[in-house]
Amino acid sequence: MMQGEPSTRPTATPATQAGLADYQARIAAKVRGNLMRPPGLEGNPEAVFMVRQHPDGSVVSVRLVRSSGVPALDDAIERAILRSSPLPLPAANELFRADLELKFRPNEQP
Amino acid sequence: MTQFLTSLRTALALLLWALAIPVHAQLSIEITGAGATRFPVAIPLLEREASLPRSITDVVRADLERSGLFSLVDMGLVALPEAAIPDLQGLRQRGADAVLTGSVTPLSDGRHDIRVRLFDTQKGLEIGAIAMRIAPAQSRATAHRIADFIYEKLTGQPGYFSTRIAYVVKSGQRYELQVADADGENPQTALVSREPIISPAWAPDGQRLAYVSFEAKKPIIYVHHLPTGQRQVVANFRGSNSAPAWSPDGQRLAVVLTKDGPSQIYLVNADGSGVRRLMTSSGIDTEPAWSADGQWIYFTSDRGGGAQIYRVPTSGGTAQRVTLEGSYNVTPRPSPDGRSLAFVTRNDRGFQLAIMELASRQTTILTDSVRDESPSFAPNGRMLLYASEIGNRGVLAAVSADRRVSQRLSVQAADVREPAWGPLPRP
Repeated sequence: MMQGEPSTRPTATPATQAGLADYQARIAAKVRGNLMRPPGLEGNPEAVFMVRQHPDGSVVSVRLVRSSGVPALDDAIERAILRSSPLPLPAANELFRADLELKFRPNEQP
Repeated sequence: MTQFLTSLRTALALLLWALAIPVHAQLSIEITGAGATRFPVAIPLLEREASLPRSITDVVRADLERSGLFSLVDMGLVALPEAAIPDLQGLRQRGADAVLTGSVTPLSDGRHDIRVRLFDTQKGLEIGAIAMRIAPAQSRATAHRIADFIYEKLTGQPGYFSTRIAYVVKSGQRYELQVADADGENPQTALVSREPIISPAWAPDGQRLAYVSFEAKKPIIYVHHLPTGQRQVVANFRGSNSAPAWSPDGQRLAVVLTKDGPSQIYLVNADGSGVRRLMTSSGIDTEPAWSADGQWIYFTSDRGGGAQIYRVPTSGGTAQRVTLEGSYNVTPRPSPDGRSLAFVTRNDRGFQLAIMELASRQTTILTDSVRDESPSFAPNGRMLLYASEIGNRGVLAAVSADRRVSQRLSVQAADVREPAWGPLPRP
Protein backbone atom coordinates (compact mmCIF):
# COMPACT_ATOMS: atom_id res chain seq x y z
CA MET A 1 0.00 0.00 0.00
CA MET A 2 2.77 2.37 0.87
CA GLN A 3 4.88 1.25 -2.04
CA GLY A 4 6.12 4.03 -4.19
CA GLU A 5 5.78 6.53 -1.39
CA PRO A 6 8.77 8.84 -1.35
CA SER A 7 11.07 8.14 1.57
CA THR A 8 13.98 10.16 2.87
CA ARG A 9 15.14 7.44 5.20
CA PRO A 10 15.36 3.67 4.97
CA THR A 11 12.05 2.04 5.69
CA ALA A 12 11.86 -0.41 8.53
CA THR A 13 11.33 -3.52 6.51
CA PRO A 14 10.90 -6.84 8.29
CA ALA A 15 14.49 -7.64 7.33
CA THR A 16 15.82 -4.47 8.96
CA GLN A 17 13.68 -5.09 11.99
CA ALA A 18 15.08 -8.58 12.36
CA GLY A 19 18.59 -7.25 11.81
CA LEU A 20 18.12 -4.62 14.50
CA ALA A 21 16.66 -7.11 16.93
CA ASP A 22 19.66 -9.34 16.35
CA TYR A 23 22.04 -6.39 16.79
CA GLN A 24 20.34 -5.43 20.09
CA ALA A 25 20.42 -9.02 21.30
CA ARG A 26 24.12 -9.44 20.56
CA ILE A 27 25.05 -6.22 22.36
CA ALA A 28 22.86 -7.21 25.31
CA ALA A 29 24.40 -10.69 25.45
CA LYS A 30 27.95 -9.39 25.44
CA VAL A 31 27.38 -6.75 28.10
CA ARG A 32 25.28 -9.09 30.24
CA GLY A 33 28.06 -11.67 30.13
CA ASN A 34 30.49 -9.13 31.55
CA LEU A 35 28.19 -7.81 34.26
CA MET A 36 28.66 -9.07 37.78
CA ARG A 37 25.81 -8.35 40.14
CA PRO A 38 27.08 -6.91 43.44
CA PRO A 39 26.51 -9.34 46.31
CA GLY A 40 23.27 -8.87 48.22
CA LEU A 41 21.54 -6.79 45.52
CA GLU A 42 17.89 -6.54 46.53
CA GLY A 43 14.71 -5.60 44.71
CA ASN A 44 14.67 -4.85 40.97
CA PRO A 45 16.89 -1.79 40.50
CA GLU A 46 17.17 -0.25 37.04
CA ALA A 47 19.98 1.92 35.68
CA VAL A 48 20.18 3.69 32.32
CA PHE A 49 23.44 4.45 30.54
CA MET A 50 24.18 6.28 27.29
CA VAL A 51 27.02 4.78 25.33
CA ARG A 52 28.74 6.31 22.30
CA GLN A 53 30.75 4.04 20.07
CA HIS A 54 33.11 4.31 17.11
CA PRO A 55 32.12 2.66 13.84
CA ASP A 56 34.37 -0.28 14.82
CA GLY A 57 32.31 -0.83 17.97
CA SER A 58 34.91 0.47 20.41
CA VAL A 59 33.34 2.41 23.26
CA VAL A 60 34.08 6.15 23.21
CA SER A 61 32.12 7.22 26.27
CA VAL A 62 29.84 5.85 28.93
CA ARG A 63 27.43 8.19 30.70
CA LEU A 64 25.16 7.33 33.60
CA VAL A 65 21.74 8.82 32.78
CA ARG A 66 19.72 7.31 35.59
CA SER A 67 21.35 5.76 38.62
CA SER A 68 20.08 2.47 40.04
CA GLY A 69 20.44 4.02 43.48
CA VAL A 70 23.10 1.42 44.28
CA PRO A 71 26.56 2.91 43.62
CA ALA A 72 28.23 -0.51 43.54
CA LEU A 73 25.78 -1.61 40.83
CA ASP A 74 26.28 1.57 38.75
CA ASP A 75 30.05 0.94 38.96
CA ALA A 76 29.68 -2.72 38.02
CA ILE A 77 27.56 -1.80 34.98
CA GLU A 78 30.00 0.83 33.81
CA ARG A 79 32.84 -1.69 34.06
CA ALA A 80 30.77 -4.28 32.18
CA ILE A 81 30.15 -1.82 29.33
CA LEU A 82 33.82 -0.88 29.12
CA ARG A 83 34.84 -4.52 29.32
CA SER A 84 32.53 -5.26 26.39
CA SER A 85 34.39 -2.88 24.08
CA PRO A 86 34.47 -3.36 21.12
CA LEU A 87 30.74 -3.97 21.02
CA PRO A 88 29.29 -6.39 18.45
CA LEU A 89 28.57 -4.86 15.03
CA PRO A 90 25.30 -5.26 13.13
CA ALA A 91 24.99 -7.60 10.16
CA ALA A 92 24.45 -4.62 7.83
CA ASN A 93 26.30 -1.32 8.09
CA GLU A 94 23.16 0.78 7.84
CA LEU A 95 21.89 -0.71 11.10
CA PHE A 96 24.85 0.67 13.04
CA ARG A 97 24.04 3.30 15.70
CA ALA A 98 26.76 5.39 17.29
CA ASP A 99 24.55 6.17 20.28
CA LEU A 100 23.12 3.43 22.43
CA GLU A 101 20.78 3.73 25.36
CA LEU A 102 21.33 0.74 27.64
CA LYS A 103 18.77 -0.11 30.30
CA PHE A 104 19.87 -2.56 32.97
CA ARG A 105 17.72 -4.64 35.31
CA PRO A 106 20.23 -7.21 36.56
CA ASN A 107 17.86 -8.83 39.06
CA GLU A 108 15.34 -9.65 36.34
CA GLN A 109 15.58 -12.96 34.50
CA PRO A 110 16.82 -12.46 30.92
CA MET B 1 -15.48 0.64 4.33
CA THR B 2 -13.94 -2.55 5.67
CA GLN B 3 -11.18 -2.26 3.11
CA PHE B 4 -10.62 1.36 4.10
CA LEU B 5 -10.36 0.38 7.77
CA THR B 6 -7.95 -2.40 6.94
CA SER B 7 -5.67 -0.13 4.97
CA LEU B 8 -5.89 2.52 7.68
CA ARG B 9 -4.94 -0.07 10.25
CA THR B 10 -2.05 -1.25 8.13
CA ALA B 11 -0.86 2.29 7.57
CA LEU B 12 -1.05 2.99 11.29
CA ALA B 13 0.80 -0.18 12.10
CA LEU B 14 3.54 0.71 9.66
CA LEU B 15 3.71 4.22 11.03
CA LEU B 16 4.02 2.97 14.60
CA TRP B 17 6.58 0.47 13.47
CA ALA B 18 8.65 3.17 11.82
CA LEU B 19 8.35 5.31 14.95
CA ALA B 20 9.38 2.42 17.15
CA ILE B 21 12.56 1.97 15.15
CA PRO B 22 13.91 5.44 14.50
CA VAL B 23 16.76 4.48 12.25
CA HIS B 24 19.03 7.44 12.79
CA ALA B 25 18.35 8.03 16.44
CA GLN B 26 19.92 6.11 19.28
CA LEU B 27 19.24 2.46 19.74
CA SER B 28 17.68 1.44 23.02
CA ILE B 29 18.65 -1.92 24.49
CA GLU B 30 17.27 -3.63 27.57
CA ILE B 31 19.71 -5.79 29.48
CA THR B 32 18.23 -8.01 32.14
CA GLY B 33 20.18 -10.49 34.26
CA ALA B 34 23.91 -10.55 34.82
CA GLY B 35 26.22 -13.22 33.45
CA ALA B 36 29.54 -12.71 35.20
CA THR B 37 30.07 -14.46 38.51
CA ARG B 38 33.54 -13.38 39.52
CA PHE B 39 35.35 -10.08 39.47
CA PRO B 40 38.76 -10.46 37.78
CA VAL B 41 41.51 -8.81 39.82
CA ALA B 42 45.28 -8.79 39.65
CA ILE B 43 47.16 -8.90 42.95
CA PRO B 44 50.84 -8.81 42.03
CA LEU B 45 53.59 -8.90 44.66
CA LEU B 46 54.25 -5.75 46.64
CA GLU B 47 57.56 -4.08 46.02
CA ARG B 48 60.07 -5.39 48.63
CA GLU B 49 57.47 -7.80 49.99
CA ALA B 50 60.29 -10.30 50.63
CA SER B 51 61.54 -8.01 53.41
CA LEU B 52 58.63 -9.30 55.50
CA PRO B 53 58.92 -12.71 57.18
CA ARG B 54 55.59 -13.82 55.62
CA SER B 55 53.95 -12.96 52.35
CA ILE B 56 51.05 -10.55 52.44
CA THR B 57 49.73 -10.91 48.92
CA ASP B 58 49.42 -14.73 49.23
CA VAL B 59 46.91 -14.16 52.03
CA VAL B 60 45.10 -11.37 50.13
CA ARG B 61 44.73 -13.64 47.10
CA ALA B 62 43.49 -16.55 49.22
CA ASP B 63 40.91 -14.34 50.98
CA LEU B 64 39.53 -12.95 47.72
CA GLU B 65 39.49 -16.35 46.04
CA ARG B 66 37.70 -17.98 48.98
CA SER B 67 34.95 -15.35 48.94
CA GLY B 68 33.83 -16.74 45.59
CA LEU B 69 33.39 -13.23 44.20
CA PHE B 70 36.79 -12.74 42.60
CA SER B 71 38.98 -14.51 40.10
CA LEU B 72 42.71 -13.86 40.14
CA VAL B 73 44.62 -12.86 37.05
CA ASP B 74 48.03 -14.50 37.33
CA MET B 75 50.80 -11.92 37.45
CA GLY B 76 53.74 -14.29 38.03
CA LEU B 77 56.50 -12.72 40.11
CA VAL B 78 55.87 -9.18 38.96
CA ALA B 79 55.79 -6.47 41.62
CA LEU B 80 54.06 -3.16 40.87
CA PRO B 81 55.41 -0.39 43.12
CA GLU B 82 53.01 1.94 44.87
CA ALA B 83 54.73 5.08 43.54
CA ALA B 84 54.09 4.31 39.86
CA ILE B 85 50.89 4.29 37.83
CA PRO B 86 50.62 0.78 36.40
CA ASP B 87 50.02 0.01 32.74
CA LEU B 88 46.23 -0.10 33.11
CA GLN B 89 45.57 -0.81 29.46
CA GLY B 90 47.97 -3.75 29.45
CA LEU B 91 46.37 -5.11 32.62
CA ARG B 92 42.93 -4.71 31.10
CA GLN B 93 44.06 -6.69 28.07
CA ARG B 94 45.24 -9.44 30.41
CA GLY B 95 41.68 -9.59 31.74
CA ALA B 96 42.03 -7.73 35.03
CA ASP B 97 39.29 -5.23 35.91
CA ALA B 98 41.21 -4.03 38.95
CA VAL B 99 44.80 -4.17 40.11
CA LEU B 100 46.52 -3.66 43.43
CA THR B 101 49.91 -1.98 43.54
CA GLY B 102 51.98 -1.49 46.63
CA SER B 103 55.30 -1.20 48.38
CA VAL B 104 56.81 -2.38 51.64
CA THR B 105 59.50 -0.23 53.23
CA PRO B 106 61.40 -1.49 56.30
CA LEU B 107 61.73 1.24 58.93
CA SER B 108 64.64 1.81 61.31
CA ASP B 109 62.51 0.87 64.35
CA GLY B 110 61.88 -2.64 63.01
CA ARG B 111 58.40 -1.87 61.72
CA HIS B 112 57.41 -1.81 58.07
CA ASP B 113 55.63 0.90 56.14
CA ILE B 114 53.02 -0.62 53.82
CA ARG B 115 51.23 1.35 51.12
CA VAL B 116 48.80 -0.06 48.62
CA ARG B 117 46.67 1.46 45.86
CA LEU B 118 43.77 -0.02 43.99
CA PHE B 119 43.10 0.85 40.34
CA ASP B 120 40.12 0.26 38.11
CA THR B 121 41.62 -0.74 34.78
CA GLN B 122 38.35 -0.31 32.87
CA LYS B 123 37.70 3.25 33.98
CA GLY B 124 41.43 3.96 34.14
CA LEU B 125 41.42 5.52 37.57
CA GLU B 126 42.53 4.98 41.13
CA ILE B 127 39.77 3.69 43.43
CA GLY B 128 41.51 4.05 46.76
CA ALA B 129 44.67 3.69 48.79
CA ILE B 130 45.69 2.72 52.29
CA ALA B 131 48.91 3.11 54.23
CA MET B 132 49.92 1.61 57.55
CA ARG B 133 52.92 0.91 59.72
CA ILE B 134 53.06 -2.59 61.10
CA ALA B 135 55.24 -4.93 63.14
CA PRO B 136 56.38 -7.94 61.07
CA ALA B 137 54.14 -10.22 63.20
CA GLN B 138 51.08 -8.29 61.95
CA SER B 139 51.50 -9.28 58.32
CA ARG B 140 48.56 -11.72 58.30
CA ALA B 141 46.26 -9.19 59.95
CA THR B 142 47.49 -6.57 57.48
CA ALA B 143 46.77 -8.88 54.56
CA HIS B 144 43.21 -9.44 55.81
CA ARG B 145 42.79 -5.67 56.13
CA ILE B 146 43.97 -5.14 52.55
CA ALA B 147 41.60 -7.89 51.34
CA ASP B 148 38.74 -6.16 53.22
CA PHE B 149 39.68 -2.86 51.55
CA ILE B 150 39.59 -4.45 48.09
CA TYR B 151 36.34 -6.29 48.82
CA GLU B 152 34.60 -3.14 50.02
CA LYS B 153 35.87 -0.96 47.15
CA LEU B 154 34.79 -3.45 44.51
CA THR B 155 31.52 -4.83 45.92
CA GLY B 156 30.22 -1.90 47.96
CA GLN B 157 29.90 -4.11 51.06
CA PRO B 158 32.24 -4.41 54.01
CA GLY B 159 34.58 -7.40 53.87
CA TYR B 160 34.80 -10.02 56.61
CA PHE B 161 38.38 -11.25 56.32
CA SER B 162 39.53 -9.43 59.48
CA THR B 163 36.90 -11.09 61.63
CA ARG B 164 37.44 -14.01 63.99
CA ILE B 165 35.56 -17.22 64.58
CA ALA B 166 35.09 -19.27 67.75
CA TYR B 167 34.48 -23.01 67.86
CA VAL B 168 34.95 -26.03 70.12
CA VAL B 169 37.51 -28.74 69.36
CA LYS B 170 37.08 -32.14 70.97
CA SER B 171 40.04 -34.49 71.16
CA GLY B 172 39.51 -37.55 73.34
CA GLN B 173 38.00 -36.29 76.59
CA ARG B 174 39.47 -32.83 76.11
CA TYR B 175 37.35 -29.87 75.00
CA GLU B 176 38.98 -26.66 73.79
CA LEU B 177 37.24 -23.39 73.05
CA GLN B 178 39.33 -21.82 70.30
CA VAL B 179 39.32 -18.48 68.51
CA ALA B 180 40.87 -18.22 65.03
CA ASP B 181 41.02 -15.82 62.10
CA ALA B 182 38.06 -16.12 59.71
CA ASP B 183 40.21 -18.26 57.38
CA GLY B 184 40.78 -20.79 60.21
CA GLU B 185 44.41 -19.76 60.66
CA ASN B 186 46.10 -18.52 63.80
CA PRO B 187 44.00 -20.52 66.32
CA GLN B 188 44.26 -19.52 69.98
CA THR B 189 42.84 -21.53 72.86
CA ALA B 190 40.56 -19.57 75.18
CA LEU B 191 39.48 -22.40 77.48
CA VAL B 192 40.35 -26.07 78.06
CA SER B 193 38.03 -28.41 79.94
CA ARG B 194 37.45 -32.12 80.53
CA GLU B 195 33.72 -31.46 80.25
CA PRO B 196 31.77 -30.19 77.23
CA ILE B 197 31.77 -26.53 76.19
CA ILE B 198 28.88 -25.51 73.93
CA SER B 199 27.06 -22.54 72.40
CA PRO B 200 29.79 -19.89 72.17
CA ALA B 201 28.28 -16.48 71.29
CA TRP B 202 30.23 -13.33 70.45
CA ALA B 203 29.41 -10.07 72.17
CA PRO B 204 29.06 -7.22 69.64
CA ASP B 205 32.32 -5.71 70.95
CA GLY B 206 34.27 -8.74 69.70
CA GLN B 207 36.03 -8.92 73.07
CA ARG B 208 33.70 -11.21 75.02
CA LEU B 209 32.34 -14.68 74.43
CA ALA B 210 29.37 -16.11 76.28
CA TYR B 211 29.16 -19.90 76.38
CA VAL B 212 27.90 -22.88 78.31
CA SER B 213 30.49 -24.94 80.15
CA PHE B 214 29.86 -28.22 81.99
CA GLU B 215 33.13 -27.93 83.93
CA ALA B 216 31.19 -27.83 87.24
CA LYS B 217 29.31 -31.00 86.14
CA LYS B 218 26.24 -28.96 85.16
CA PRO B 219 25.53 -26.43 82.40
CA ILE B 220 26.45 -22.92 83.56
CA ILE B 221 26.65 -19.79 81.39
CA TYR B 222 29.86 -17.79 81.53
CA VAL B 223 31.01 -14.55 79.91
CA HIS B 224 34.69 -14.72 79.01
CA HIS B 225 36.71 -11.56 78.32
CA LEU B 226 39.19 -12.71 75.68
CA PRO B 227 41.99 -10.11 76.08
CA THR B 228 42.35 -10.81 79.82
CA GLY B 229 40.97 -14.34 80.10
CA GLN B 230 38.71 -13.19 82.95
CA ARG B 231 35.43 -15.04 83.32
CA GLN B 232 32.17 -14.28 85.02
CA VAL B 233 29.25 -16.57 85.77
CA VAL B 234 26.14 -15.06 84.20
CA ALA B 235 23.58 -17.76 84.92
CA ASN B 236 23.96 -20.60 87.43
CA PHE B 237 20.45 -21.41 88.51
CA ARG B 238 19.00 -24.70 89.63
CA GLY B 239 18.66 -27.01 86.64
CA SER B 240 20.02 -26.13 83.22
CA ASN B 241 21.45 -22.78 82.03
CA SER B 242 21.92 -22.75 78.25
CA ALA B 243 21.84 -21.08 74.81
CA PRO B 244 23.14 -17.55 75.58
CA ALA B 245 22.43 -14.87 72.93
CA TRP B 246 23.67 -11.26 73.07
CA SER B 247 21.49 -8.24 72.57
CA PRO B 248 22.78 -6.02 69.71
CA ASP B 249 23.93 -3.39 72.22
CA GLY B 250 25.92 -5.97 74.21
CA GLN B 251 24.15 -5.02 77.45
CA ARG B 252 21.96 -8.09 77.90
CA LEU B 253 21.73 -11.77 77.15
CA ALA B 254 18.78 -13.95 76.37
CA VAL B 255 19.29 -17.31 78.07
CA VAL B 256 17.35 -20.54 78.55
CA LEU B 257 16.74 -21.67 82.13
CA THR B 258 14.83 -24.55 83.71
CA LYS B 259 14.73 -23.05 87.18
CA ASP B 260 10.94 -22.69 87.08
CA GLY B 261 10.10 -25.89 85.20
CA PRO B 262 10.61 -26.74 81.52
CA SER B 263 13.04 -24.71 79.36
CA GLN B 264 11.96 -21.07 79.14
CA ILE B 265 13.61 -17.90 77.83
CA TYR B 266 14.85 -15.24 80.27
CA LEU B 267 16.66 -11.95 79.81
CA VAL B 268 19.63 -11.16 82.01
CA ASN B 269 22.12 -8.28 82.19
CA ALA B 270 25.61 -9.11 80.91
CA ASP B 271 26.90 -9.16 84.51
CA GLY B 272 24.31 -11.73 85.56
CA SER B 273 22.00 -9.29 87.35
CA GLY B 274 18.34 -8.51 86.70
CA VAL B 275 17.13 -11.87 85.44
CA ARG B 276 13.52 -11.84 84.25
CA ARG B 277 11.35 -14.24 82.36
CA LEU B 278 10.51 -13.13 78.80
CA MET B 279 7.22 -15.05 78.52
CA THR B 280 5.38 -18.01 79.93
CA SER B 281 4.95 -20.77 77.44
CA SER B 282 3.05 -24.02 77.46
CA GLY B 283 5.97 -25.87 75.82
CA ILE B 284 9.75 -25.94 75.68
CA ASP B 285 11.26 -22.69 74.41
CA THR B 286 14.96 -22.58 73.53
CA GLU B 287 17.69 -21.24 71.18
CA PRO B 288 16.88 -17.52 71.45
CA ALA B 289 18.46 -15.09 68.95
CA TRP B 290 18.07 -11.32 68.85
CA SER B 291 17.12 -9.54 65.63
CA ALA B 292 19.74 -6.98 64.57
CA ASP B 293 17.41 -4.08 65.42
CA GLY B 294 16.88 -5.46 68.92
CA GLN B 295 13.08 -5.55 68.47
CA TRP B 296 12.53 -9.30 68.32
CA ILE B 297 13.74 -12.50 69.85
CA TYR B 298 13.52 -15.49 67.53
CA PHE B 299 13.42 -18.88 69.24
CA THR B 300 12.58 -22.55 68.82
CA SER B 301 9.51 -23.97 70.55
CA ASP B 302 7.45 -27.16 70.55
CA ARG B 303 4.34 -25.28 71.73
CA GLY B 304 2.52 -26.20 68.52
CA GLY B 305 3.53 -29.85 68.56
CA GLY B 306 6.74 -30.22 66.52
CA ALA B 307 9.79 -27.99 66.80
CA GLN B 308 9.21 -24.72 64.96
CA ILE B 309 10.61 -21.19 64.95
CA TYR B 310 8.67 -18.31 66.52
CA ARG B 311 9.42 -14.72 67.38
CA VAL B 312 8.33 -12.50 70.23
CA PRO B 313 8.88 -8.77 70.90
CA THR B 314 11.88 -8.19 73.18
CA SER B 315 9.47 -6.46 75.56
CA GLY B 316 7.45 -9.67 75.81
CA GLY B 317 3.95 -10.29 74.52
CA THR B 318 2.49 -12.69 72.02
CA ALA B 319 4.74 -14.97 70.01
CA GLN B 320 4.18 -15.43 66.26
CA ARG B 321 5.09 -18.55 64.37
CA VAL B 322 7.72 -17.84 61.65
CA THR B 323 8.40 -21.19 59.95
CA LEU B 324 5.34 -22.63 58.28
CA GLU B 325 6.74 -25.32 56.01
CA GLY B 326 8.17 -28.64 57.19
CA SER B 327 7.79 -30.56 60.41
CA TYR B 328 11.04 -29.57 62.10
CA ASN B 329 12.75 -26.16 61.97
CA VAL B 330 15.24 -25.09 64.66
CA THR B 331 18.16 -22.77 65.50
CA PRO B 332 16.94 -19.41 64.13
CA ARG B 333 19.66 -16.91 63.21
CA PRO B 334 18.43 -13.54 61.87
CA SER B 335 20.66 -11.94 59.23
CA PRO B 336 22.56 -8.73 60.09
CA ASP B 337 20.34 -6.70 57.71
CA GLY B 338 17.16 -8.13 59.27
CA ARG B 339 15.79 -9.30 55.93
CA SER B 340 16.32 -13.02 56.26
CA LEU B 341 16.50 -15.82 58.75
CA ALA B 342 18.89 -18.77 58.64
CA PHE B 343 17.87 -21.95 60.45
CA VAL B 344 18.21 -25.72 60.43
CA THR B 345 15.46 -27.75 58.81
CA ARG B 346 14.93 -31.48 58.79
CA ASN B 347 13.76 -33.07 55.56
CA ASP B 348 13.94 -36.57 54.10
CA ARG B 349 17.70 -36.22 53.57
CA GLY B 350 18.62 -35.06 57.03
CA PHE B 351 19.37 -31.79 58.79
CA GLN B 352 20.23 -28.96 56.45
CA LEU B 353 20.73 -25.22 56.56
CA ALA B 354 17.95 -23.12 55.10
CA ILE B 355 17.43 -19.40 54.64
CA MET B 356 14.09 -17.63 54.60
CA GLU B 357 13.41 -14.20 53.15
CA LEU B 358 11.27 -12.81 55.95
CA ALA B 359 9.11 -10.48 53.82
CA SER B 360 8.02 -13.20 51.39
CA ARG B 361 8.55 -16.26 53.66
CA GLN B 362 10.35 -17.89 50.72
CA THR B 363 12.74 -20.58 51.92
CA THR B 364 15.86 -21.89 50.16
CA ILE B 365 17.85 -24.91 51.30
CA LEU B 366 21.53 -23.93 51.43
CA THR B 367 23.40 -27.14 52.16
CA ASP B 368 23.16 -30.75 51.04
CA SER B 369 24.79 -32.95 53.64
CA VAL B 370 22.87 -34.89 56.27
CA ARG B 371 23.81 -33.32 59.60
CA ASP B 372 24.37 -29.56 59.35
CA GLU B 373 23.86 -27.39 62.41
CA SER B 374 24.82 -24.18 64.26
CA PRO B 375 24.52 -21.59 61.45
CA SER B 376 26.27 -18.28 62.09
CA PHE B 377 26.25 -15.25 59.78
CA ALA B 378 29.37 -13.32 58.76
CA PRO B 379 28.94 -9.70 59.84
CA ASN B 380 28.16 -8.60 56.27
CA GLY B 381 25.48 -11.29 55.97
CA ARG B 382 26.93 -12.78 52.81
CA MET B 383 28.41 -15.99 54.23
CA LEU B 384 27.23 -18.46 56.85
CA LEU B 385 29.54 -20.61 58.93
CA TYR B 386 28.10 -23.91 60.16
CA ALA B 387 28.99 -27.27 61.60
CA SER B 388 28.77 -30.35 59.44
CA GLU B 389 29.80 -33.94 59.96
CA ILE B 390 32.02 -36.26 57.99
CA GLY B 391 32.46 -39.82 59.27
CA ASN B 392 31.16 -38.91 62.75
CA ARG B 393 33.74 -36.13 62.96
CA GLY B 394 32.60 -32.53 63.21
CA VAL B 395 33.95 -30.18 60.52
CA LEU B 396 33.32 -26.49 59.86
CA ALA B 397 31.97 -25.33 56.53
CA ALA B 398 30.74 -22.09 55.03
CA VAL B 399 28.12 -21.32 52.42
CA SER B 400 27.09 -18.02 50.86
CA ALA B 401 23.60 -16.74 51.59
CA ASP B 402 22.86 -16.93 47.82
CA ARG B 403 24.10 -20.58 47.82
CA ARG B 404 26.65 -19.86 45.10
CA VAL B 405 29.78 -20.46 47.16
CA SER B 406 30.40 -23.31 49.56
CA GLN B 407 33.61 -24.39 51.17
CA ARG B 408 35.12 -26.40 53.99
CA LEU B 409 37.21 -24.70 56.64
CA SER B 410 40.23 -26.76 57.50
CA VAL B 411 40.73 -25.85 61.12
CA GLN B 412 42.69 -29.02 61.84
CA ALA B 413 42.23 -32.77 61.81
CA ALA B 414 40.02 -32.89 64.87
CA ASP B 415 36.39 -33.00 65.87
CA VAL B 416 35.25 -29.39 65.52
CA ARG B 417 31.76 -28.11 66.36
CA GLU B 418 29.76 -25.16 67.65
CA PRO B 419 31.11 -22.42 65.36
CA ALA B 420 30.30 -18.75 65.92
CA TRP B 421 31.33 -15.95 63.55
CA GLY B 422 32.57 -12.85 65.36
CA PRO B 423 31.71 -9.21 64.61
CA LEU B 424 33.71 -6.77 62.51
CA PRO B 425 36.72 -5.49 64.43
CA ARG B 426 36.21 -2.11 66.03
CA PRO B 427 38.45 0.49 64.43
